[in-house]
Amino acid sequence: MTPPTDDFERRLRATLARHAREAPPGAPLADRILLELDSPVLRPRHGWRVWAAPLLAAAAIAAAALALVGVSNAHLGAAPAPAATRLPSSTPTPTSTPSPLRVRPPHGTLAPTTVTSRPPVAPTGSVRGFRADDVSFDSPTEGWALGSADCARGSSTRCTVLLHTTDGTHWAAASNGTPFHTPDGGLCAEPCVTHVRFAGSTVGYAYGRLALFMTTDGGAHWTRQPGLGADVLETLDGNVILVRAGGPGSVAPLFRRAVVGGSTWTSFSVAGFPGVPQGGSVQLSRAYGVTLLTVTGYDAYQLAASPGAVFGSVDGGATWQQIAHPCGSRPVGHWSIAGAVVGAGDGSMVIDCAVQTRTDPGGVGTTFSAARGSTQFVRAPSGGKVAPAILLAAPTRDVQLLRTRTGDLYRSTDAGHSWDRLAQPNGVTFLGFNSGTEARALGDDSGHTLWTTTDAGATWHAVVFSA
Amino acid sequence: MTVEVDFTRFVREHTAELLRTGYLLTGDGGAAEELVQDTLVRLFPKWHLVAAADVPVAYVRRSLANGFVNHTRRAARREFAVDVLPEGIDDHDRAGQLDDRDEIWTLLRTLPDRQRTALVLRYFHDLPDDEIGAALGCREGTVRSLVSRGLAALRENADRGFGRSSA
Repeated sequence: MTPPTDDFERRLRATLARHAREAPPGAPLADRILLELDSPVLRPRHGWRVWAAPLLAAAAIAAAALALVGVSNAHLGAAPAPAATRLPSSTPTPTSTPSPLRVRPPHGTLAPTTVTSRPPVAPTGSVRGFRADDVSFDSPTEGWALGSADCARGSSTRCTVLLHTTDGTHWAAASNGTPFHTPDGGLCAEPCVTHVRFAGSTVGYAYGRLALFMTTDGGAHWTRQPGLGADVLETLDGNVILVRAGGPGSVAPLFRRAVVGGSTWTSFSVAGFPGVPQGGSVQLSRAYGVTLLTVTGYDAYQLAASPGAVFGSVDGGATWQQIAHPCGSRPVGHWSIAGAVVGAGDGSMVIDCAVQTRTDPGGVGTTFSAARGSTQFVRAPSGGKVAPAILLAAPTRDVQLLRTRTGDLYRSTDAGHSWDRLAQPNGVTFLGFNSGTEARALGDDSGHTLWTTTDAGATWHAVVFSA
Repeated sequence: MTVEVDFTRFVREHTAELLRTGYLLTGDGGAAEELVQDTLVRLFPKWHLVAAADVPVAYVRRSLANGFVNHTRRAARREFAVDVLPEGIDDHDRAGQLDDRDEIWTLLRTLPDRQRTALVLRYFHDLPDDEIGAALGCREGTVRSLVSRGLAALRENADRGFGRSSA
């Protein structure tokens, strides 16, 4: 309580108290807000990723490992290994594995007590009104889309649906039903999943914070993995890693890894893994044998809560070392990590650092990049000319794309030195490369449209989901 | 408690309170509703973080104030500046000549957003400097400066009879 120190302050306090009573009543607005719970506007939409996942030769993995092992905790992979720099640079054949980053979904799932559990029955015949929550491509043409659709013609209820395509354009239901639900309209009955990830044509994972399912037949049938859930999950080279940060409601942190398709999950630890700050997220990015696990500290709508942290692994998540990321060494201001990614096209690492200023508390961002096998990050010469990334993708060190909090999608072809705002797509909620040139994105139309680029984001082609 | 239930209950319990803050910041009922709704919509996807805060409504209020000062609604917000400064008044009984209901309110609406927000958070919510700083994205020293300058501007204009309808 700050007591008034003079009559004027007393009068100001009294004035505010009186005028506050002139505010509109709260109940009608509360009703409107809660009604919007059924609107896609409020539906949690998370994630973007880069399917890098080139099949690495053993020599490449070893080379990358040499670049990362045997260095101090302060500089994981301080110098690029010569062998790594000699790795073939041609566009690799994508594997099932997506690589980069994924925003942490909200803790917990939504209450069965507040939403009637939808029957796990997929619509028959054509799928109408499909809205994608997440997509996963294991090749340039084969992919899956997790979302919801009208249960039946003319029905107002929605059903969880997993679609499959083998040509990147035409989609069909991958199963006759799913044993899980998706957060259509912001509500999600248990078991609730928010993301899908396929490691190949047969093995895939659908997961949420409190649920993990695996399929070994392309999505036709799913088996729940008991006791597991994830904020982020990525596969690469026959290995799958999942991470779940701790949270309220006795949600315990989880660090697990397994052979793709296997049901034996092994725990691992990440020394120094921090708590996720308010507004921060957990991200996982994999490519070229390198896995980046990032805790971001940037909150587009609040102050930076913490600088964040980045950890690297070159052995499929068995061991981790903290990387001395460039955001923590800036001399002025409150810097934090907005995103970090391994390039699907060249194995480089790109980190977007955000700093909030008095004039723009939303902050400005600067990307730092390091060549494959190195953690010597170089700052974009003219960094700070664009807002920090809400979504970050960098198929190569030079080509970087980021979506800002305003929904604009920016692209740089000179390692973050200069940026062009793309006319489309806007408001992407998912952005993922599966090579140095090919990517897909979900736009801001509630997941109805899938965007594809084959020229590293220079141009985009829209396809409306249909089946 | 689930995220969904928690959010629903929070909206039911705290929307009116947040609207009062929004009204004091914007000076307009419609704008206050828009501000509160946008704030809650923006926070919903990460509601678990709000729920985990020591005082969830303080977290939301901080976000609301931050959104008012910084976000894109700025362009759509109505302007509070007056076109013509009123004439001065005699120097007697200045405080008494200020009608709290109208004149201080009018004066408050002429202040820059950050100063007005700092005053609302200080004199309506009784927040300390550090919490006001968290909402505004500035240090405590800056908060003290904002409050001081805001009060000074109010006093100065009050002394000049700013806003008096009949002098």
